[in-house]
Amino acid sequence: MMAGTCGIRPMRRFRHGAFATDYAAEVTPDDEERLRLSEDYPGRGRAHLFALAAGRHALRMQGAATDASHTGLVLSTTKAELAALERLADTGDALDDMYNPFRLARALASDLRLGGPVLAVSNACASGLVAIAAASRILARGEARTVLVIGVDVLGEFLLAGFSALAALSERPCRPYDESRDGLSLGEGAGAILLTTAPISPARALAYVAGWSVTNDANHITAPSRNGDGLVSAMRRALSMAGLDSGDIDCINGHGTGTMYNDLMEAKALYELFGGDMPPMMSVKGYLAHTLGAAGVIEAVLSVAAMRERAVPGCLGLERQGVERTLNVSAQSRRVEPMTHLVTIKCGFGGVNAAVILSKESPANG
Amino acid sequence: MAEVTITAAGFFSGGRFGNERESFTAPSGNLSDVRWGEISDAPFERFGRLDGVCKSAIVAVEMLGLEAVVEGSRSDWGITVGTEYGCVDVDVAFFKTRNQPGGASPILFPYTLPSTAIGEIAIRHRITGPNACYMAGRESGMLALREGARLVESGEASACICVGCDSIGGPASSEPMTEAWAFLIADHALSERAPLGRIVFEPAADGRRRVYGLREVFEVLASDDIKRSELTIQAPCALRGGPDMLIRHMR
Repeated sequence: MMAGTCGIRPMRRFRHGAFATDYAAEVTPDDEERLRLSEDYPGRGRAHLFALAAGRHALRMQGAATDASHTGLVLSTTKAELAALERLADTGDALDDMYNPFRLARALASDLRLGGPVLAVSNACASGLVAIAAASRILARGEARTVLVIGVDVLGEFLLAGFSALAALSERPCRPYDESRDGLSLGEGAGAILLTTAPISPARALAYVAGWSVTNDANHITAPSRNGDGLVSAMRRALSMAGLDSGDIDCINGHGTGTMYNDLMEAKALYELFGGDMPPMMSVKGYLAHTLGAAGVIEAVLSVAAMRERAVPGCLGLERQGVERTLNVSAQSRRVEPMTHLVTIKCGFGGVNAAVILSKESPANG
Repeated sequence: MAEVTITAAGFFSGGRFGNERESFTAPSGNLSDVRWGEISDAPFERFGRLDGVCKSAIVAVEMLGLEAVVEGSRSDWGITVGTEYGCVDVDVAFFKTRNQPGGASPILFPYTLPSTAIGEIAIRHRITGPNACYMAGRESGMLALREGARLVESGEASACICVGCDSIGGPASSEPMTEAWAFLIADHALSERAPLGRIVFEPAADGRRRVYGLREVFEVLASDDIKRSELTIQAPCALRGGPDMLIRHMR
C-alpha cells in the first residue's frame, strides 16, 4: 500500500459483464491455491481458509504467550461461507452449514484449538468494530483473558448481484472522497487481531484498545444519515471511554467507501467533531476495496501498522476532494508524528456506526 | 452487586403475540397471517415488506408497550439481537431472484443481514444507542439478554431492548419456526407499572433451575407461581467464564 499498489482489478472468478462492474479486490485462484497449500487444511471453504490463515498468523505472532485453551474467538462476518449459502439456495443442499456465522466460528475455534468463549457478530459493514467492542467487553468483565477477533467475508455472485441491484458499485476501482466517486468496489479477505488482558511486555503490545462505541442513526435501512449525528455520537462516546478528547487524536482511519452519500456523511461527522483542526486521515478502500464484515478488523490491523510506522498510505483514487467539508486526506503517503491515538470508524446498513480508539499508550498508564 | 430491572417483556410465537403468558399457550397460525392492524393502532406501512426475522422482532418489541414507558430521550438506549439462523430464508429467496428480468431484488437484499432487525427497531422507536447482533447457536437469545444487561450495567446504555428472534422455514430447516422474545431492561423501572423482575449476576448455586431459552425466561416472568420465582441462567456457552445470570421474579 505504501508503494501505491492497487488490489482492485478485473475479476477472474466471475463472468465479464455479469454485474454492474468487472472490478473487485479478489483473492486470485493462484493466491488461494498457495494459501491452501501453506495452511494444510484441505476441504475448507474459502472464507474458512482465509479466516484460518489470518487467525493462525495472529496466534503465531504471540507464540507461547497465548494459552489457547482459555482463548476466546469472536468472528465478524456478514455472509460467512458464501458458496455454501449459494449452494443451499440453488440445490437445497444444507449439509454444509458454514454459511451460518456461528457454525463457522465454532469450526475455526476447533481448528485453532481455542477453548474459550465463541460467538459471531453480524452487524453489516460495521461488524468488525462491533466484534472488537464485543471482545473488549468480554475481556473487561474477566470472562476470558485473551480473545482472537477474526473478520472475514468472501466475494460471490450473491454479493455482486446484491450490490449491483442497489446501484452501489463503481464501474472502475472506487475513489474514496474524490469528486468523481460513484460507488464502492467489493473486496474479500480476512484479518485477525489478538486482544489480551494478560500481562505482556510493552514491547510486545502492538497497540491498546482504549475505547469503543456503537450507535444507530435510526434513520434509514440502507442510506447513511444526512447529518452524520450517529457517527459523531459514536466517536464522542469512544473518546469519552478512552478518557481522551478530539484534540488527542493523531490519525483517522475513515470508512471511505467511495459512495456519494457515505463519504459526504462521514466528512460532515468528522468536521463536526474535529472542526478545521482535522488530523491526517487514511482510507484503504482504494487498495483493498470494501471487505464488508471483514473491513473493521482488516483496517484495525492496518491502523496498528500505520501507528507503528508513523505513516499513512495515500488515499488511492483521490485526485480532487469532493466532499462538503475538507478532510485532511492526501493521495500521497505521509509521515504522521506523533502517532499515539488513532480512531477507526465504520458504518453500515441498518444505520449502524462504530468507532474504536487504538492507542500506543496503555490506558492504565494514561 | 449491580442489578438490572426488567420493565417489560413481549413475544411473537406460533402466530400469537402479546405480553402475557396466557397469550401463547396455544400457538396457532403463522407469521404471514398477522396483519399490523391487529398489533397496533400506530401506523407502520412497511410491515408487509419486512422479512420474517424483522417482522417477528418488530412485533415482539411492539408488545413491550413502549408508549407506557416514561418518556425521555432514547439516545442512549441500546438494542441487542440474538439469532440462531439469521436471515437464511431471505438469503435463499434473494439469491433465487438474481436471474429474473431486471436483476436481483434490491428490496430483499438489505434483509439478507440479520442486523437489519436492529435498524428496523431503531427507526420505529427512535433508539440511537449501542447495538449489536449476536449469533451463538440456540443460546443466541440468551446471549442478547446477557449482553444487553452488561451494556446497562457498564453504563454504555441507560436501557436496552434485548431480542431473541428466528424465522426459518426454507431448505435450511427441518421444521418451520418463527418466534421472537423481547425484554426491556434498565437500571431502574421505566414505567409506573410494577417491574417484572431483576437480573443479577452471581456465581452458580446448587438447586436453582437452569434455563437456556428466552421462552422460559418469559414464562417465569409472566407467571405468579412463587416456586418459579428464581431462574439461574447458566452463562451461554459463548460467555462461559463469568458469573451466571440470575433472574429474580418481583411479583
